[in-house]
Amino acid sequence: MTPFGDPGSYQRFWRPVSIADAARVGGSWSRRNEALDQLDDLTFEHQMAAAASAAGHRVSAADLKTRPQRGPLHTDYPAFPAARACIGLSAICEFNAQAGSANLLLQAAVKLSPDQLAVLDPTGVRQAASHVAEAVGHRLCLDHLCVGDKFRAVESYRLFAASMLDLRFRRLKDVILAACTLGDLVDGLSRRPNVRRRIHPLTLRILSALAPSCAHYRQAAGRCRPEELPALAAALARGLMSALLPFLPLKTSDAPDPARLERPGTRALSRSWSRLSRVPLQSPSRNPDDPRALSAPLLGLNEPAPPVMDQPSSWTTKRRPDAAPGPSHFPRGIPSDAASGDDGADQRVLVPRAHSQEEARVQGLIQQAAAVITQATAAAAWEDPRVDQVTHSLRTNLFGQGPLEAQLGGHRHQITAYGSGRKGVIHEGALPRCRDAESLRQVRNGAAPIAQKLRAYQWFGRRTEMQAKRLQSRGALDPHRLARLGISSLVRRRWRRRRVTDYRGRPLVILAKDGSSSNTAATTLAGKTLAAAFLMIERLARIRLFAADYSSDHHGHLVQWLWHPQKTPGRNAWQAVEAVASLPPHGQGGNEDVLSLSHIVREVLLTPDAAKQTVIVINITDGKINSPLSEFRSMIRTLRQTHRLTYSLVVLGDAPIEVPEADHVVRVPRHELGDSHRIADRIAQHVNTLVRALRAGRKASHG
Amino acid sequence: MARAKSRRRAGTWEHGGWHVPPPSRDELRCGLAPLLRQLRRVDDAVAKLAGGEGRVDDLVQLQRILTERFPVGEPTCTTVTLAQPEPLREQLRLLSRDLHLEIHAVDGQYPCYLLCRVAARWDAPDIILEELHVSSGRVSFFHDRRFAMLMRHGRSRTFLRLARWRRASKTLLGGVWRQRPDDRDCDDLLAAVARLVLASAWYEDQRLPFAVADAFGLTHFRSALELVAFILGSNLYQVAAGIREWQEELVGFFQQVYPNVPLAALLHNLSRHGAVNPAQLETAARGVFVELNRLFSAFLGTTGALADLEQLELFKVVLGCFANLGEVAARACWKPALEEAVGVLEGAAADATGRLVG
Repeated sequence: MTPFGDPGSYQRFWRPVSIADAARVGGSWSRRNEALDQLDDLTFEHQMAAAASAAGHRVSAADLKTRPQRGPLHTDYPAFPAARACIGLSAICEFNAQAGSANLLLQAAVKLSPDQLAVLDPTGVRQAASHVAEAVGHRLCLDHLCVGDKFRAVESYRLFAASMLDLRFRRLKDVILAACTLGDLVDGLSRRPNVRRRIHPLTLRILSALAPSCAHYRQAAGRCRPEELPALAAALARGLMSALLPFLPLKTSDAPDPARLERPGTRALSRSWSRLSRVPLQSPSRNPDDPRALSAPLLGLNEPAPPVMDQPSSWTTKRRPDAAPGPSHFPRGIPSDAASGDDGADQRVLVPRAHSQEEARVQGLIQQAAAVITQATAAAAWEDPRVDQVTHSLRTNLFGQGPLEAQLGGHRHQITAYGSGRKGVIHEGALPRCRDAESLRQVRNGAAPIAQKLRAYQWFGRRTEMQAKRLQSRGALDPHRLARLGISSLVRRRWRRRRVTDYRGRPLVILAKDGSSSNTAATTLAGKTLAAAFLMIERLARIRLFAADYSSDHHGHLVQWLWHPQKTPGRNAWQAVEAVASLPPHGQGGNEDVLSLSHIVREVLLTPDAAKQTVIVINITDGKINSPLSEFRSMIRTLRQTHRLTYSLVVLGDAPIEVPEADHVVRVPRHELGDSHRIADRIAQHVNTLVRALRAGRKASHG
Repeated sequence: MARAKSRRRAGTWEHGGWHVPPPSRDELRCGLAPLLRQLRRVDDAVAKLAGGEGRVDDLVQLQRILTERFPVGEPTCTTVTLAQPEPLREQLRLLSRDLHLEIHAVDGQYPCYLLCRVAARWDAPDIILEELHVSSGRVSFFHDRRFAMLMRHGRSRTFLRLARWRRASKTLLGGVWRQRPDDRDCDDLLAAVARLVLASAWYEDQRLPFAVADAFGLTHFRSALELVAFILGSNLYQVAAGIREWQEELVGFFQQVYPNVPLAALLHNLSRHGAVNPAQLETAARGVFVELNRLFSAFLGTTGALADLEQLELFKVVLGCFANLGEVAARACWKPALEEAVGVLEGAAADATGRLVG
């Protein structure tokens, strides 16, 4: 297929665009963008309703605490149910983020009495209580949204979670979650002989113990009013915790000798594990004094294993029973987004602190092997999310925020900066539409005076024209014979290249807005109004505008397109003002200006519109450059020399930046930032200069 | 240096571009032999570890295999390792642009590999022509029997998976033609099948109904879905013109290799009479599409369909157990309600296709 996914002549689209097309790689850009817009709208509605349901009153868009989730769309689940699961997950995440008081209620409900705590391992009890509170919180959320508010998308996510569930249940957390939220499916499946074979006997016993409380809750929840649900959920949490007590690990002094569980052979190990009656705190451990370190058995992928309290069993079943749990014992492996668990620790490399020389040697070997395997299966940061990685990540954190959140047209790119040659990775996306009427009104009102001034200017392009130059002869050569130059090879024609004004040309204007954290509220608002004004006059001024904001977030350097014909979904430049309004009120993060600007300019220069057109870069910044100034100047120099573009720097505020390489520097002092009319005057003056420069050359006739 | 030059395949200037012919079967086999050997060794080690028979020593052995250097392509070329996939992919690109290596991690733990030959042209659907190596055991490459999502130059792309019919296609060509077909002929047939028929007959939204059809043995329903999608998704005039070159082979493909009798009948009609009144056919197909959707929805609403899961509607079982639907919906677990629903859906689908093809 073509790079943009156009199907060509062998296929035609006959189905209407739906949310299932939102991540379809085989679809065209326009279909995908339209689908993303639909999905975004539905997600927003559900998030708002979920937030209102949790908070008990209407909330505004600014009060939303989570971002739309997109993980299920990048798994091997069918596209339409996956898109609905995205909507459901977004609603669940928002509900859980808002429902602080309900979670506190559940945490209070799972507290045990001191006499119960006397014999049990306190760490195990704490972890089990946390798992129960979390699972019941999810159940409460499902009942609130699915039964109370009739959000069927939440049920879609529940089914998606059931499909993702690893039926071997390597963690106690998964067992509790499955019994509590997916009980109707798991109960039936666990009765099947082929499924039972995969589940460890201890897991089956725990599931059976939890089932009555869950069944009782399901029956009661179907009949009760929504306001009675928290009390029912608290009762469920208490019931689950009581049912779990016989399976929780005893205090270390009461625990059986771990060495009894150790046998050199795998089968022997499995036998001893099958007789377990309590959940172990960690994966099976090897006797550190065993001289046959390399012959230590490893648990297979398909073998039934008892659920452990802290981490899933993997190759590294070498944890000593007396080692205190905690992520500090687990050095991070090679960074991999998808492989990291919810606690931030890498799930693959689980290497505890060594306790003997022999143990340390084995752990070193395993760590080396793990690092090599991780390297052999890793994906580059700029590549699309890989199905197996996303699936694994979602599976380890069901009902939680996933690895992929809404980024319209989000991609990562490896960038080499102009001039300095600095390399880096840029995360690119498109800003969603703003749904907050107040922010939108503020930006539109602020931009109106500037747009009023700018709309009067007609921008013209410049193009290169080849002109035949008359030969001036002297001496022996008779000027009258020059008429024969068309047929004589002895007299050469002279050509001259000239840049002339092109009245039909539409210059490309690249608006790059700095959104880093050095921007105050005043400079951010001024930048937003300026960007909005340019977007509003795009059609009238006969320019081709590309607008982007560059900042950074937890992914790293971030370029967000406000308006790009191929990257922003289903909107024109006028509608892109809504995207400007969705920018945060303050700057965020630091960024490498050089990398971000290089990426923005390169993306625009690659478009067919840029061919043979005048390119003007307007960089709106607060004058605080995060890259070294020498690199910044080098970039501008290279851009001007190589691509012959015009570079204007608009400095909002009083930062004393000096960039002699820029063609124009417009300074808006700090005391004028709040006055749109003063900004309009300065920008209009600058645009006047630009337009006059464009028309300064020899004028060409039309065409 | 001169020796290396002489080994390089000569290119030709065609259609305004430099065209280097793909390597022959022998060249490919020779160039890929060390890689395939290495992949098999990794598979053995992973199978042992994943099966629960492995020890720390086996993990170390796996690490050793991954870091061993081996040549790809010409014997004089640079050696690569499996631990560094990018240089390896670069060498594969030098050997042939059609080669693709996909690497996944089973449960985020062990590496698994798919080495295949693909056809990815701008004016044709992306297809997998030949699977040269697929890791054994649980792999996550083929979430569907018809599609595979591969990472091509860092971007996910959906490929039609036609490699599994390679051998059957060769047999079919051998039966139709007088001379013995070679691998190129087989590639051409699969590309024609994809371009003319399957690119429009299969689309990704069909994954759910196809998975259900495969799990519950709904052959008429599956055929009807493909037929409707083909009529609505392709330009029948173009197909009728393009089918002339592959007339018998295409019809034979849908009769013997991938059986879809109504589709084969329609292709036969197109090849003999051309596209006669396609607008009317499209209108009828739209009606059938709506009807099939309604029937499928009613089928998924069946309750008491499967043993141990009687209290659930079928759609909950299908979506909740999508990853292992074949196992959950095994024939032994069917209840009478499901038998009846299958009969209704199959009967209605057979009627609908009969109305379309006649």
